Amino acid sequence: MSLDVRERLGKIGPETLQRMGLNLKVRFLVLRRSSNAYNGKNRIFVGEMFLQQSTDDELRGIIGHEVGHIVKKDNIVKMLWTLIPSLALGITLGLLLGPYQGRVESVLVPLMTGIGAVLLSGIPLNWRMEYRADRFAAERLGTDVAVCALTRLRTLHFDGFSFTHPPLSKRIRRLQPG
Amino acid sequence: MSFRHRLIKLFIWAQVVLLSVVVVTGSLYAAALLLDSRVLLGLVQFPAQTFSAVLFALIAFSGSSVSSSELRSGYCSGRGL
Repeated sequence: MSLDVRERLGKIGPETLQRMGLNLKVRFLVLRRSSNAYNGKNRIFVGEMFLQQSTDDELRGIIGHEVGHIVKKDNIVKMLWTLIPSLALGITLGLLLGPYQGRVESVLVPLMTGIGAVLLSGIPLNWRMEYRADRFAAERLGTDVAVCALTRLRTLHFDGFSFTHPPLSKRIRRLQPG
Repeated sequence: MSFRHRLIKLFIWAQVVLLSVVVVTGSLYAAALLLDSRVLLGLVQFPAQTFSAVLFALIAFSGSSVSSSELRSGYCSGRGL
């Protein structure tokens, strides 16, 4: 990986935060062999391939989106959404199926049922958070910047739905006026 | 749509179907145990156990993380976060 990629992210990252009018302490990290972007606790990861192929505005748009997730504390919401129903379901099923304990299937089946239910029910929440982060980036950096970032991502990624993200085309349509 | 993207789409739909089947059969299995219904238990026990085991295996084989040394260096390998 060339050092230019890391330097570029190190320059445009903080500059984007400034443009957004935010005073956040965020570390910017490069993801090897990736064309995606993620966020962690005050960390933003941008894929090496995305960095190599994107313009400055496209990079700003993607950083703006990830900053949106950090500002809205989406990781905490996601964790709570997963943890609370899982615990509630686990405790309920454990109490209800208590007499059947000792049989592997009486633990495995309710556990997997709970995980399945949590994963499926999390789809609308995940999608909503993605739309919100897109809107946040558009409001702070301009709709054009957010749209061009998503358009670049669409050339690098599968443009379909997933458990965590709505289709990129739909996200672009939602940002565009009219 | 490229072949790779068709494959991804198929994989995602397969996951949605598997999770839905696990939720439905698992709920019926729990209901059969609670209601002590041998007929219902006989019908759903095998599918509930099989699909739950498949999901468990998929989850067990799919986990990964970024190491602390990768984070310190400012680079990481692009595995799932």
